[in-house]
Amino acid sequence: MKQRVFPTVLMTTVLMLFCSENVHSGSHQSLPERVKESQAGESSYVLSEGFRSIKWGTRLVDAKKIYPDLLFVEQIPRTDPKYLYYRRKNENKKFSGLEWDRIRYVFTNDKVFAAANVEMRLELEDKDKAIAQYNDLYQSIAAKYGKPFHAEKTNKEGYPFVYYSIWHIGSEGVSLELKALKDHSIYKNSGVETSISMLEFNLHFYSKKAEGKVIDF
Amino acid sequence: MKRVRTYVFFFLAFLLSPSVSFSAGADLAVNDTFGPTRNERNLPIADGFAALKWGASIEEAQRTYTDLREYNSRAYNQYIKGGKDNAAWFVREKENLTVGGHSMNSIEYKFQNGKFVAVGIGASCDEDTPCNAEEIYQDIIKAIRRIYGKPYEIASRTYEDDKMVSKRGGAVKTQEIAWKIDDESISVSKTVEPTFSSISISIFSYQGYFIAIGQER
Repeated sequence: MKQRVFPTVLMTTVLMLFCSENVHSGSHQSLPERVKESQAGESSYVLSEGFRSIKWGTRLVDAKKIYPDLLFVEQIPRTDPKYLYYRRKNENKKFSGLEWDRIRYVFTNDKVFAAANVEMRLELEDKDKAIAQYNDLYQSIAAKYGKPFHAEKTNKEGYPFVYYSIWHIGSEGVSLELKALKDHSIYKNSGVETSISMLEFNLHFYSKKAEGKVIDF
Repeated sequence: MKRVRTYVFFFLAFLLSPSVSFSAGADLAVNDTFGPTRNERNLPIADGFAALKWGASIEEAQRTYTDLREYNSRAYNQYIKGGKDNAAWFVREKENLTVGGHSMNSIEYKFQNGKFVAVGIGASCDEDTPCNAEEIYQDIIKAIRRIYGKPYEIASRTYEDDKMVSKRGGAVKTQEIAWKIDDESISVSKTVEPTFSSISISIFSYQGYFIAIGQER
């Protein structure tokens, strides 16, 4: 019995040694982010404050002091840009209990933080999952901010073509969107037939005040 | 005690084995572009392609690959070289052309302003070089999915109008699937015509692009 137990104990010890190293390095790296997120992210998220650790209206140069890994991605529109999109190199893509594909920080052309965009793409086979995620997030936002300013569900050919809701809370807002992307086309003599290729799921936070659309007297 | 040492030996050997974390791609060759192993000769896409880092200069690239030569043809020199991108395309004389388990026709390295920014990979099938474009396309997609998961875009175009049918002798079908992995994107496309089909893979790096245009992020 002793002979059988000893190797098992040793294996477990070796395994724990390997695992504990990962756990320690992981917790050291993520602890500051977790603390910040508990203040400005996830469950205790306060829309009026900003997104994650960056407050609305923060200048890019100051945002880079908070997140030195902030990287420029693109400007929209490409010519005569109004918005500059940034991402973090070491972003924690988990937000509101979901693992997202992209989290982007939007600055105005004057380099002031005004919006944040959280996005994921889903394949058609995950349609039910996408709808469930939309409904769950809708419920969470509605529980916090009440009925949306506007909500719509447009179905086409049995697919959720557009599910969209928007909440206005003071000078800030949050919108939730699930839409079907139609990228399959058949060119016939009679015209072009298009069908759905993927689903895009988007959570958008913005501050009109930061963007300068609301003047505070 | 001998038995314990044997346990520990096999346990460590298991942990250190490269096939542990990449077992899903075990049927692909080690040096395959989308194969199971990442090393200094097969960089993760976030770092570069094959052994070339994004943003590497032509000189650096030629030190890494001494057989790297600029593409040379009348059409290339007349229509492709230079342009507003100041682009130059290079090929290796002794290239490993295996991608997704299939031998491709060419792998081309794009330099913009002398910096490495993109890769183009192609294969074509016709009467003289018969091959199964669908099989190649599916295998490449499968290999990329193993590494990068769900795609960002899926698209298809089918041209079956009289004009196209009379021009090409039948319907023309194109399919495209693309991944976005932070700064890098991979797009795989397939075109099938009655007597010709082709597969092309485009890999583009924004990381390399920003280095090429000299823009700080």
